[in-house]
Amino acid sequence: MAIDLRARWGALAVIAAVTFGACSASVGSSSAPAGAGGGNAPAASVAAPASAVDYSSVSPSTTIGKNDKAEVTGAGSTAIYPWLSAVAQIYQQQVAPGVAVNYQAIGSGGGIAQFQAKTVDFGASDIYLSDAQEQQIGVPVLNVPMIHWAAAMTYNLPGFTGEVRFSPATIAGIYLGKITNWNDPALAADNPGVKLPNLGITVAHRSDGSGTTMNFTSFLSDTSPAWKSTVGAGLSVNWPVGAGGKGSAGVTALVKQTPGAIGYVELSYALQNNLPVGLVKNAAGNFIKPTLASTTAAVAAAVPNAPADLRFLIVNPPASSPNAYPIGASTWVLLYKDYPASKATEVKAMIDFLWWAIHNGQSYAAQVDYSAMAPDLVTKVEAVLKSVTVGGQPVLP
Amino acid sequence: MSADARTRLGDRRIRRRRAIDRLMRGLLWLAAAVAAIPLVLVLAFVLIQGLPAFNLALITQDPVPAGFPGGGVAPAVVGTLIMVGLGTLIGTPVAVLTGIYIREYAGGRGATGIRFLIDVLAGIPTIAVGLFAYGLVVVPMGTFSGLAGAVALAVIIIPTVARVTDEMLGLVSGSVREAAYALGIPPWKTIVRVTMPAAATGIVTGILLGVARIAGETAPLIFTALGNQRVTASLAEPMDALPLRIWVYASGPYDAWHQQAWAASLVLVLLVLTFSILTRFVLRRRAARLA
Repeated sequence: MAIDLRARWGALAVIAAVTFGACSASVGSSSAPAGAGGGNAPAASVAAPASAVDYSSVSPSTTIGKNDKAEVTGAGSTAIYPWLSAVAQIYQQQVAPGVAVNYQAIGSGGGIAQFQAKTVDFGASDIYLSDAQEQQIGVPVLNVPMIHWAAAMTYNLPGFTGEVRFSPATIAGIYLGKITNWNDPALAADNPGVKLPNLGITVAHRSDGSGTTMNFTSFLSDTSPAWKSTVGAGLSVNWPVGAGGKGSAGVTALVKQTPGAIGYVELSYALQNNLPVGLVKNAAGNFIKPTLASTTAAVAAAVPNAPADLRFLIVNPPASSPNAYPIGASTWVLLYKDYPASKATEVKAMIDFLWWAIHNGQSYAAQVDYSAMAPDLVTKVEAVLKSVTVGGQPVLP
Repeated sequence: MSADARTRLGDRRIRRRRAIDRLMRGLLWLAAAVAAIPLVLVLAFVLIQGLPAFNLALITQDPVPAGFPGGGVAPAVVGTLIMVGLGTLIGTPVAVLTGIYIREYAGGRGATGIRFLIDVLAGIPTIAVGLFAYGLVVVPMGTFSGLAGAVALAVIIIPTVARVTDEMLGLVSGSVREAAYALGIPPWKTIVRVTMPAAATGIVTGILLGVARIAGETAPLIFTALGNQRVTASLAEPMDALPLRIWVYASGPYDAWHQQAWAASLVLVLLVLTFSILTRFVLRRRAARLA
């Protein structure tokens, strides 16, 4: 009888162990069953596309095993969220089931602030940290470009189905309030043979501080002396005209609702909302449509001149790149150069994840309307990732 | 003036008064209707927009990467339940005891002072409460967490419940208290066995209102709970919540996100509604038993 009892307790213990084990496992990898349980079977569509770079061949052997458990937290840029949350889930499903990278889109400004407050393992921002911001943090930091995208000129012209072409001077004129109607001669000169309607232009811009605004105004400052002297470039500027919308979503909504409106938004917002995008004239004199390829071309043009700390913009590429879209943008992941030894597990997991993200992860960029890194840049980013240390010891060999 | 003329004059006056009465009643009815319209519209709109994406997968699955079909908001449902539950557990006892203190012990000037402070607390924008919890919990812990979110929500629920407890105890007739004292029952026992049971229904309704309010809070969770793509029960990790998920999805570019944001709103409304109906049901049974 006593044996019987003991056996029962033993069985109970086994059941308990299995249950708790299953529980903790499901916390770590509960994204995996998305396909198993769902009628929509999304997991099947998350299969790896033929990737340009095979991760396994380039992966440095870190101590991250498939069975290690780590929770990595990052926050910041809204622009990088669709891609970063996608690659985080795929990485967990295919590479390291125990590594949960939790990234939340609180905006670039919020990401920088939390990175400064050291409440996250990494930040993400649509613009690199300025010297002043880096000094404020007090410890050496790294700016790691991760993904590129285009700031698209989108507009609302009821009944007009053609493509509108914009020269930089025309965009500057519109945003300076000098060009106020779609039938303006400047627009007519950009669009020979196209009859634009007699309709007032409503200018839409971002009301919040934004990396998109930084890249857009940098482009205008580079190409228009009038813009440079009166408005200049910045995360938020003193707009001469127009209405503000919060986030790319706010600008998209403004443009959608207002006939005659024009705005600059992340390309994905225009594409997903079926809004038209304008062609923009680059330094070579070609009108270029914002696409993933034309953005990658802009990245490729900028990389040779990029400084070692990888703080560079990809706007207004030189005339030697005839197919590059001129208003490209990047999102950086912000890392500390040295992490405390107590964070070793998380940091190793994070660096291995980022390494995977700049190689295999790039092949998922197109699915969410972002542009992959230029191959030359990947090499430079590898060098930056290799400089990260934990307690003074390099994470990567 | 003949009697006939007087009657006619009186008729006219009465008719005029009746007309004014009808007009005023009409205006009041209209005001009530205007107040109810947003509620009806919001519920109808959330239903219409939310139903297409509302299914079992929505509340049982993790979010899938953007651009992929399917997925759900399970981490947000679990996170909201945990944080609202914990926030209520932390905040309500403090609030009820505060209400009892104000009404039964503080005395005139003390009561006025504490009531004023509670009202000020109720008036603080919830995003500021979030920043308070950020400084109190997130920075010392070095990480965003469900605990920080629950603390923020607890601070928000305290003034609502404290004031309701205070008011409800005030409604209990003085003669009931006096009857208890006359029987030689000590004050604490009078509160526990006589006044509190009499005020319980009102206090629970107040708690319910508080729970419904914190369940819909977004601002205080942004810098405390942060959000999470995975289900977690650990209070030391970032945690998701329905309002946060709705906020992120509604401002994103993808149509699938917008649909899930609507469906998640429907889930949130249903959660609050179910909870409030359940509580009312329990209260009614309890009231029936007492009677």
